[in-house]
Amino acid sequence: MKIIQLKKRTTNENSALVAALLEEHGSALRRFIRVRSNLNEHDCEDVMQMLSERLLKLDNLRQVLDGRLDTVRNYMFQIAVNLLIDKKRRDDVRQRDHHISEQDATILSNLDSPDRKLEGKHKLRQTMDILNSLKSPYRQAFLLNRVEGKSYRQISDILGVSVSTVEKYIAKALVAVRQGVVNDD
Amino acid sequence: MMTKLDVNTQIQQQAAEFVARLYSGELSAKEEETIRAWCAADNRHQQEFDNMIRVWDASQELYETIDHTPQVRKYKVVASIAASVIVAIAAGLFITWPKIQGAPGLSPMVQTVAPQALKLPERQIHDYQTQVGEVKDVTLPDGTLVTLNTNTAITFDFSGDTRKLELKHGEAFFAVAKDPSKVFVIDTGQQFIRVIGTKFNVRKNANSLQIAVKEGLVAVHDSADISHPQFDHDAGDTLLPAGTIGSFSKDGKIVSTAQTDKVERLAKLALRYISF
Repeated sequence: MKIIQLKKRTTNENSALVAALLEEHGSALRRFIRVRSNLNEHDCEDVMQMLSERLLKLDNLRQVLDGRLDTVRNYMFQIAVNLLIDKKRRDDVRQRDHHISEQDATILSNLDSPDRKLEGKHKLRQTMDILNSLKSPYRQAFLLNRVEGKSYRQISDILGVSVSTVEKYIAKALVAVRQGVVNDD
Repeated sequence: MMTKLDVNTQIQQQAAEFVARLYSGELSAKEEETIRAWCAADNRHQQEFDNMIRVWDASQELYETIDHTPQVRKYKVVASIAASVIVAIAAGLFITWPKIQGAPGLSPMVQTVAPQALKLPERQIHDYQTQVGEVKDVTLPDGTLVTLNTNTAITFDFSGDTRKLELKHGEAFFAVAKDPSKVFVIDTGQQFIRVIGTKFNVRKNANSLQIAVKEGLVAVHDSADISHPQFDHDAGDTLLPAGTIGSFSKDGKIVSTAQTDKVERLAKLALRYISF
């Protein structure tokens, strides 16, 4: 009896919270999901459904959100990304079962992906060399976002530049890292 | 006339701008349309966009290697010396860069909640066990994946400041979900293992403990002093980077560390979990 009550209370608390979150960030989230993973409306709604279920189940949702303030949207993006990666993995596994062995497929699919090439400490050193060779604001903007999880708005306050400039800096650093770790042709 | 390099560079720059825009969280309907049209216009566009997303995701993994204190003044120093810090203390960590495309090495942040765990009341120690001959995969509420080998028992309690898990007996492979704000602590009864997010195998026998690290960095302690909310290695810790095995005797003394390909074999449980 007690168990059920406890559980129910958590769910109720969260459901109001989750509704408010989706109200505020839902359309940005949908757009993010569609663009990031090139999904249609239907698949996007599946992901939104999973995301909402996931949020409902988080015991410490209120706590997490209180600690985040300006980065709540980033947090929801991150959860969406995790779900998307999960989904992609499931889709890949399903697909490759019909063709070649799982191991072969994994090797083939990984061989030329940039993240594969990012492996190893040489690449780490290389990546940090690249970042260090960039103009300091580019590197800082990139690391503050990717490493510290700060929003563009927060970074703009730190660096004393506009939000759109932060975005440009981050794009510059990103393209440099990408070029440094993957050589085409 | 543009050379191929020019075209590639241009595509990369465009993709990077789109990805940076996407993550601003402020994408407009019109911009969505623009990006999707650009991706659809040319195979290379879509491919480059996907590449850029993967580099973006992977670059997040750098965070394990630098101080997380969110102070601006401090940050500037950290950023400028980040390269040397990383190389000096955590070369092994880099192996944790994810291979997103395929299943192996998938980022451990697979946030699926096990239904079994949810049926249990909050703030209680949860437990899982396997019978002799049974192997079981479980997903903990924080997204950590655990594969229990035969005749293994674990309990866990995530309600406090740390994620506490006790390996009662047996062997388990852990793919710990990353959460720098809540260190993952495994009590083996002999040693304490602390991590943020990494993959490793722990085998507990009557008089020994063996830890094989597949990815990331694992800290092993004698004491239960797990008060630091931040992941911080004490001088007395034994640090095990990826590709090593640490063996500990019953009284907690380290017997040997080996840099060996045996890790692959010992962590073969990992392959089970990866290929489900």
